[in-house]
Amino acid sequence: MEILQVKNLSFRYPEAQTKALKNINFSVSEGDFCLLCGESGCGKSTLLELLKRELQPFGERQGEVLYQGISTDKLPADKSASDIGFVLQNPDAQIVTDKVWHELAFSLENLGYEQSIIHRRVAEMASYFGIESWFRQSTATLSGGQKQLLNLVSIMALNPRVLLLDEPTAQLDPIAASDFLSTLRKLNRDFGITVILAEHRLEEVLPNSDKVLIMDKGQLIYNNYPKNIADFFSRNPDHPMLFAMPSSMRIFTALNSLGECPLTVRDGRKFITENFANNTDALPATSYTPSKDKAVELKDICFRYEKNSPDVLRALSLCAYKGEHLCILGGNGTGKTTLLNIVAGLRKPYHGKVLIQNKNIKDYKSGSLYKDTLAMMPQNPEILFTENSLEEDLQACCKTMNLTKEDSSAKIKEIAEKLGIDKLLHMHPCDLSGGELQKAALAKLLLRSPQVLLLDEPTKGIDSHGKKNLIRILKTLTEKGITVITVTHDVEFAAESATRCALVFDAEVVSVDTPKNFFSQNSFYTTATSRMTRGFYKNAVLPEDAVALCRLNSKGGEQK
Amino acid sequence: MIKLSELHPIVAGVYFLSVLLTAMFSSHPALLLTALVGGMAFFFKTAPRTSHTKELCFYFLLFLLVSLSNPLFSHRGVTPLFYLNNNPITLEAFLCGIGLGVMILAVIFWFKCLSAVMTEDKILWIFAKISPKLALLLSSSLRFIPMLKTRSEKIREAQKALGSFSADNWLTKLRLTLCVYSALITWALESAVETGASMKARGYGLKGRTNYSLYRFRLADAFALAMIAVLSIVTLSAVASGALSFEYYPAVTISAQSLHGTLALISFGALCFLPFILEVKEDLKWKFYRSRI
Repeated sequence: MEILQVKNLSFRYPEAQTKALKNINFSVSEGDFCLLCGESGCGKSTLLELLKRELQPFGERQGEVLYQGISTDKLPADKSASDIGFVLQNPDAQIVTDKVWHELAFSLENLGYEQSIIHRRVAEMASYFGIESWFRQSTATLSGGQKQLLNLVSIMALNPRVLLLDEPTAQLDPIAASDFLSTLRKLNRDFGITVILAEHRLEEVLPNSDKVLIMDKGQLIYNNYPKNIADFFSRNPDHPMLFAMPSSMRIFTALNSLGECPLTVRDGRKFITENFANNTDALPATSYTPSKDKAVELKDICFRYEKNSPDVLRALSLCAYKGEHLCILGGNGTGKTTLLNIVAGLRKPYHGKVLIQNKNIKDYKSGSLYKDTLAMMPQNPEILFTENSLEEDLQACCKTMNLTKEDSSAKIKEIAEKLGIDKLLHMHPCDLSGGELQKAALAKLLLRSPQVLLLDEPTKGIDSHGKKNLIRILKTLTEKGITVITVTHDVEFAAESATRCALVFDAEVVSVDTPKNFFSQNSFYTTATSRMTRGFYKNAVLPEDAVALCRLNSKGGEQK
Repeated sequence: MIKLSELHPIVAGVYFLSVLLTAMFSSHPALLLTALVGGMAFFFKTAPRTSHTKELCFYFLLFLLVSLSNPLFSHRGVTPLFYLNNNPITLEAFLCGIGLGVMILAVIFWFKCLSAVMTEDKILWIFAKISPKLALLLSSSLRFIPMLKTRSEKIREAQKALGSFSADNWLTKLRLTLCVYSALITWALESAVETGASMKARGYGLKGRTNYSLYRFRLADAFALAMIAVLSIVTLSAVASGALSFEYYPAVTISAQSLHGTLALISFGALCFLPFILEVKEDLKWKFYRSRI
């Protein structure tokens, strides 16, 4: 049975030139797990918001949305509130109250349930989702993953039939994201709850979805089963969404293969081993010798937050050479961000030395370190902005550097053009999308022409297109001799853009190597392509490597 | 009976109200002293044992300040002890100062006990009984404070790493600090919009909103409430009727001993030491249980 139907839905924001949604038609059957994807700004969020009456944006709407055959505009208010649940992107902003138990009860209170029913429902939810241990805690003490789970559970308390989720894992680390998605999958499987999920990370979700919707510039361009996506991309080989697809599918499409497209690592592995030989099992090794100049050197760094707390970093030594992109990887709470803060001079180690451009960090007096030597991009780049428009902000930044008005305008123009944000300069920083915001933040940092650039989780909350852009920008920066140090969870990003990767574990740096060696020698902490070709090919880390190797080993033509 | 911290918020609320009212509105030295000793006993029994000596020193100094400054400024009373700059320092003013000091200390200690027992949750529960909307507003503000704190810290650090705070001119520094706050406010408004959306999506604003709480009113609560009520009525009625009146000026006068007054003193003693006794009882009980395990 169809639970949601969208008929000829178009939408235009007030004063917008073009429509945000153009004539969208689709329907969702009860119990379906639908994946909604598309580049940022394609209208995913608008579409999801239009499906939930309470969140409908202001603007000009045509067409209708039917829930169980009734237009959502005509649903009774309590049914509309409880049957269709909505989870937003930001885990923090959705939480209303200060205590976990109160948050769980909040929606039930709104619908006027009695104390005894609420008590029972809350107890039941807390037990099922395993949140009893933090039931009485303050919501402020929770981790991002716990917060997002709380948001989901507090909506589940109303027994919704449809869940709409707008990039719920964008702000989470991969492990928390994976936990969240498996909870979602479980709800779908065990309770038959219909899920419509907008997501950037497709590697894990796509194989588990029943249906995939791809949007492009306000239009629905794909609405079918996941296994048929390969056909779509073989017809549109240049579509930017291909880059967001699981590695197995990208390899399959690049090889112009026919038949059923593999979606998981397991199927991808099967596809490669069955169709290709491994007579040539490795690509020629490319050697990498870093430049001799040390840009950043850490010597025996020890750090702890409090006198009696354990060491966050223990005798850690690391070196980044001029013009390289060093990616620091590692699990949650291993001290990666602390390490970055130490390099940035925001935290002081109790033992050890930090040398920036061969000069002790202590000898950079009164902020001279930040003048033209080092710049850091925080996890949420929006906190760098303080003015009402991007241009004003950049101007203000130039002013602190004592540039004249003409000089600064020229400089801003040059950098903005280079990063492709010259058309966004009049916008308010808060109105930019994740990828745009990041480019804007980079522009602000690059104004000071730093020699060392530190990035904290730069791929968080940006789509594959934004990621690709970022990789390109970082490449041009390192070519100009700027040293980039990135802390990230994103192995695919590290594999593609780093010149060397380092793994931080148990307060120390465990291994440092080029991404090719680093990821092909790791068995678990590695890219999907590497897992797919493990034991078969030796150094395939990126989908392109696997494609090249497959081509070298094709058994007569592209495919047998 | 169970510990005060485990009683229903309404019972604990009534208890503190009664003790604090008596301590604030009576001037009888016996009552004040009982209140002070009872409050201190409970506080030092339950508070963590790290900073006791320091705290005691501080309160002793406060006490000295209050009790010694009163005779310097107040020259009422009929029994001059000596003259200072032609101003009489009277016995009555001196005693009144001591009384004031005891009262202030007693009230401070009882407020410390109150903040330890009446957690955020309990206060919010009481607010929710008075005005559910106000309680929700309070609850979401309480949620917002730590968020703002971490956020402003992050903005400050990011701005520091931008080199914005290194300008030598204090005016630029001030301007930048203001900028940080403006960024913080923009962010707070943005996130409030999202919170609003989340509230609306979960049916906030529908008719007939109820209020959920974790507290159940048990038999032990009823028993405790009845006991507290009886003890407080006896005490407060004596204070109100003047059976326990005490005047410092012009000369120290104490009301004649009466049955009502004696009963009230005993009741207030029981009331003030009740939480301390319950704590001790609990300790003994556990010791006893443990010895049987």
